[in-house]
Amino acid sequence: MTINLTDKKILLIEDNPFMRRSICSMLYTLDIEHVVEANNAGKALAAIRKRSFDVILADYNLGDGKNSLQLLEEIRTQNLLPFKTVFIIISGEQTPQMVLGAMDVKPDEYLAKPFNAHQLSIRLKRNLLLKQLFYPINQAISDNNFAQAIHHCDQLLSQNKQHHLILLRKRAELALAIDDLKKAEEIYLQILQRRELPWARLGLGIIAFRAGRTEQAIDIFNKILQKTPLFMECYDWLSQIYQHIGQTEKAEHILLKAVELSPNAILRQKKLGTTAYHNQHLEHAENAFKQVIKLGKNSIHKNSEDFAALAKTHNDNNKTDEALNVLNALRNEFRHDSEAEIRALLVESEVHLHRKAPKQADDSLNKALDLSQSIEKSLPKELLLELSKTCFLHKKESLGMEILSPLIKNHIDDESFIAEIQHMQKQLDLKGFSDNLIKQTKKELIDLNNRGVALFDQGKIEEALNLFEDALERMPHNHTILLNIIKIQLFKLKTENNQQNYQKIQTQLRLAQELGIPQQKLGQLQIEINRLQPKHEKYAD
Amino acid sequence: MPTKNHFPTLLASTIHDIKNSLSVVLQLTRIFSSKYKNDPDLTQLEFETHRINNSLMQLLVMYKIDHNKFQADIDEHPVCDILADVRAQHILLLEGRHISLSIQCKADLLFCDNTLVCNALSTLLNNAQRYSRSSIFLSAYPDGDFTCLAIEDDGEGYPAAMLENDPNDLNKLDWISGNTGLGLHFVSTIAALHENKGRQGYIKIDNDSRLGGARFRLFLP
Repeated sequence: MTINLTDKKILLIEDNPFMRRSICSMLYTLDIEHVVEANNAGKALAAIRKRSFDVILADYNLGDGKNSLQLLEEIRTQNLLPFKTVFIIISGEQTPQMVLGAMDVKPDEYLAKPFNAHQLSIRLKRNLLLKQLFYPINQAISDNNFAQAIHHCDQLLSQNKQHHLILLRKRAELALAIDDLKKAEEIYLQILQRRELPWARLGLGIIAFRAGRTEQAIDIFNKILQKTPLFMECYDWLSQIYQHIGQTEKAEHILLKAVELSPNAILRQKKLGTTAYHNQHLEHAENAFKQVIKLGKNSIHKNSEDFAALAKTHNDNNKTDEALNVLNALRNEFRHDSEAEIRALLVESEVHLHRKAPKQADDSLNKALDLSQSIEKSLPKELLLELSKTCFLHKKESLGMEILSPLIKNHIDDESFIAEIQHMQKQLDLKGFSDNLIKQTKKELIDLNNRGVALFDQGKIEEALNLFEDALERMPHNHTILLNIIKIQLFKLKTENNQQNYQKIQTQLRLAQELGIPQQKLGQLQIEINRLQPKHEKYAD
Repeated sequence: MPTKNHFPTLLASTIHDIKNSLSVVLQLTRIFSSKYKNDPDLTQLEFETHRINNSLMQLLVMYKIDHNKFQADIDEHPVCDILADVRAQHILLLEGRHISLSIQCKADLLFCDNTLVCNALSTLLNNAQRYSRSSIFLSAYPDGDFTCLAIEDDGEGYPAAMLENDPNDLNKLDWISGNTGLGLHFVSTIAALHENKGRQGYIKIDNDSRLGGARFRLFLP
């Protein structure tokens, strides 16, 4: 495979006009003709929306506004970056990626300046070649066709010696995506036999975590950090596992260490804030949320939720003036945003309660309730939980329960959310208000499941399907029900040979992804579905 | 934010800033070079700019290593790519100074921190250019459990005093000898960051160059 640069379309983002001109002239000496120039992130974004590029070459600093990492974060989040596009950041430092982890965005490459046309050409070609190599795999993944992705990857592995390791790494990730832990483990062990590489060792830790061998996973992660204490991704996994087993103090400790080493990752700061708040370490939470707001200034991750969280933390920490100041800032930053206003009103209500002004507190809550009813789109579940919580604080139990009940019913198999509800119940001393409902809903779900499975076993396929489809209408966010529907559809696909079923099941798979069902729960189903794909839709090998 | 965190940020952003300026200086030099057909003074200017850049980069890496803010990012790379990278970085300069660079790559793939090894070789190539007459030989070959990257020149060779000491032993480093000593210190530090199954990278210097001058070798496990 050779790469021809002449027909490539390049977006060059650089705020310094002299540098822009000099890089442009380098590109011309490489016979590249299609160069679009932008001097800031805003203009770059407009260009990216208009057309696709083969290469985006961006200086790290872009003056006021977003820097190029924030730009990359934004276009990734908004799905504006095709997987054929190479994103290179030009920076003064050579390896800033060392202090980044899973919660950070990474460009394809950091190019250290100064550089000349020869160096630029080498880097462009190398990265374009990799993109080209991985294209069929990434295409298949984005089509949810993991069988095909694995097939391509295996094929490349048998042919390509130069990129063997990076292909093996991809193959292991694909195995993890379809929950084939055995294969993934085999690959990581094979790599480790050749060389002790932290990411391969991390893979073994992730497998142990997935397989429920928590102690072993923690041990693996800790050993990696002893040897390579700047491997940020490992901190993220370790804190996640502590969170998972309810050791939130330890989770916070790990996040705090990570944030000290790499303070600019907004999502990690946010995680630290919520964890510290959960642990009632208000000073830590305050610091973290302040950082989140600061880092969010030009980020796609800027969110009214973080302002509300900081205000709430201040209030809990007896700093009601500061809390109100933050709410002012919130309202300034998010004008005409009803969701943000509801958040502000709810915290405001708590501040008034704290200041022993029940009447004003009541006012704020009522305004929040009115507003929540007047907007059409459904509010995020966390905000609804806040709303219900504030109702309980105001002794409006029936109203609180009215909001809480559908939340519980709808999200009964979302373990961490249910845990949050239980945590709130404990905090507010609600004496089993929600516990009974949780228990009851869980039981209903099990009954429903049993009935459906029984129908299915008796060969009453349509009846089983109807049963689950009815239930999904009542609980549109329920993972278990949707997974059951997909499984029945898969059975029908196998037995009925009806092309329409294939389309249906694809739609449901996408819904499952939107609901946040973890990839590893879907992977095996996807593989089976891919095998039944109508012939004409298959890719040519 | 604790004050101790300020200096690294300050250092990094200052270096970023200086590198911006250096980029402009280099670009201007090249514009003048094409106007004035490789004026030797301009070539010298470009060479010195490269040296400043190299020293800055060394300084930053060494600072980070000292403050535990650095760790090698090991991955598998084709050795030929590394040599090509180093060549690309120096090609304009070498042409200007009429020094020929030949490359021989007998090694296949290498586990290493690509950027670091390129930096190390680049530093050495910078030194070699100062002392060589007309040609430099850059090669890579497997050597037992190690891969050897060698730079040979046709200059006067290392002074006898330098060859007496082990260049990996920092205590015996002759700081007064200036940039060469500093560069060797940097490269041996980078070599030591590479480890595999109990073996550590190291450097060797002698005057057994096939071109009759100095020979430098970097051994990576």
